[in-house]
Amino acid sequence: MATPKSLVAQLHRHWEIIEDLARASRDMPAFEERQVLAVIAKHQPRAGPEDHAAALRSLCNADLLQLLSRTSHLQLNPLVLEFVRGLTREHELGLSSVLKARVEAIRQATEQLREGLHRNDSDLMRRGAGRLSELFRQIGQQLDQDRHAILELAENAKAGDAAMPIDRRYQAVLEAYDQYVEPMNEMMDSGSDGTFYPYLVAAEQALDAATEVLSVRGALYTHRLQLRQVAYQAKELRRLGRVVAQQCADTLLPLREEARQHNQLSASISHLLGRVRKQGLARGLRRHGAQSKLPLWQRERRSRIHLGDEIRTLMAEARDYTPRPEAFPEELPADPADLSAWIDETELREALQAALPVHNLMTWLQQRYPTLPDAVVLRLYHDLVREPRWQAQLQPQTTTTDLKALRVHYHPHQLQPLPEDAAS
Amino acid sequence: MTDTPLALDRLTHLATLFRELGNGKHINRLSDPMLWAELEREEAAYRALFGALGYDLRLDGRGFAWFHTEEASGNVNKTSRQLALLFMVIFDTQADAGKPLLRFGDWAIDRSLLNTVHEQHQELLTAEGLDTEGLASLLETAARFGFAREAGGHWQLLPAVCRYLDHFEALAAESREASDEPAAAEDELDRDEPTASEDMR
Repeated sequence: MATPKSLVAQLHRHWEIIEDLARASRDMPAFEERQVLAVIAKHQPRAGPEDHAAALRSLCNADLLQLLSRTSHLQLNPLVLEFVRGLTREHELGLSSVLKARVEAIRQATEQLREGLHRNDSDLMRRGAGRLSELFRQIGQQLDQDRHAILELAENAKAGDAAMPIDRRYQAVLEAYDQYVEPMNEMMDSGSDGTFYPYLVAAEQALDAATEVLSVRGALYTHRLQLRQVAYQAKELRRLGRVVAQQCADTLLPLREEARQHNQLSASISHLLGRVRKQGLARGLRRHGAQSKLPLWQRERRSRIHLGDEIRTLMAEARDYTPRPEAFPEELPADPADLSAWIDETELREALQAALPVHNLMTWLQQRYPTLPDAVVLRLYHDLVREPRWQAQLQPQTTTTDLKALRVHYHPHQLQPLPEDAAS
Repeated sequence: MTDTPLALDRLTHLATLFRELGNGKHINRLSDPMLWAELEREEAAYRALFGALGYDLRLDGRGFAWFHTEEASGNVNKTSRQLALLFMVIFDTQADAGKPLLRFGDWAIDRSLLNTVHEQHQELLTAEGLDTEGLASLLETAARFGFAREAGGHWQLLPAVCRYLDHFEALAAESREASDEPAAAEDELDRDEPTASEDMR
């Protein structure tokens, strides 16, 4: 066992190394010798291997590093580890049950104090007050450490890879909430279920009563002062407890809500998708209650102002307007729709099919049926180019053809057999 | 309504807002910060003005506004249904990937994601006649109504999507409540069964 002085001196000399090892202790409780040497080498890059070994030896001699029993592994002295973590705010989240036990101990210490007061035993009173002071200090320290541990948990969860599944990312947060924040909230509850505040209030009252009794009795000033200081501690702890509980909940609650919402929403969506799969989209999304209507929005009502017919009549009367009679046009002569009077269309189509490829459909028609009137030729031309039995291709150059009474300027259509017909 | 006259000169974006909202678009704080800021600042005036014209302006604290209606034309209904399906399949795919659903604004929805969405819900989407192209054109529709926007070669969902998320949760809760009763009846049946088999023995 090294002396405290040499331990502190070595801690001062090798602070960076110890800080590094303390941080690494979160993942690895004990280190191999070469791992420690690697850490030393990182911080003393200019020194040689002998110097590194010497540093390791001095760390072991000063009891900063201890050999784990039955192995050659080294671990940080637990006292040092606790101290360094406290200073660097690298604490793990404490156990809520430890906090609970300490809060429970407040009650016992308060009873001790009351007992001393009752029995007029100032020694017992001082012992009770001393225990209370020690408990308040421990609880305060733990609350402060836990607050930092929770902040770190939240930061890690938030800074984690966004692509990581949410369950894994927020696992630590959810655990911390259930195992720490919930029990702590229960304990800090200011209602009848909570223990923290009633015990603290009882302790404060007992301390105040004791101070008063001592001052009436004319006890030593130092005794009274000690009791009063403990009472201040209790008041401070009440404030700290409230702040820490609030801060922990504020930090973790949104993250927990996010994870919870995620689960609820994804479950809802999966459920609905299942319904849509079975019942189709329209029925799957159909509402049953008034609350669940598909999101709708209003599209512009094309509001235009028109004068009503009444106004038109009024204006017409005012201006003494007489509408000009407008005669409907006579019925136009019918389209030569009935082609059968002129030609046998089936026969024509077969003839055309046989004649394929036809370079210019118009001239082909004209030559084959020279007696047809122009309107019928043009009508046939338009019908035939749309026929799916052959392929009609519009030619790039224009042509002029004289029909009976008309001269037509047009891009002629060339007809070709369909590819599969050509192949067969 | 209050008697204070409307200061129309303060409503500098009135025409734009009326046109956009009237076209069925949702104004999002994220994508139209200027319009949103004015809408929020002059909320009472806008509400009164649009209300008098027969429009029900709704502002949601999550950062979006729209002209609300309970009765919509068949077209809007159909579009809304298809958008609901689009968002459901996207959210379901992202939930499977473990992405935080409430941070949907951070997702970059590109072709490869749409392909994954289509692969995972092929049966459902085929039944609705939607392929990857169909999903992409639905996203364009969503952009037209202010549920998404195109940004740097991908789409980004906008806060107005929350309307659908609320709807999904309400619908699922309602459907679960409705299915609780038949389930209770089935429990009764289950309990009866062993008695019957005992009788048989």
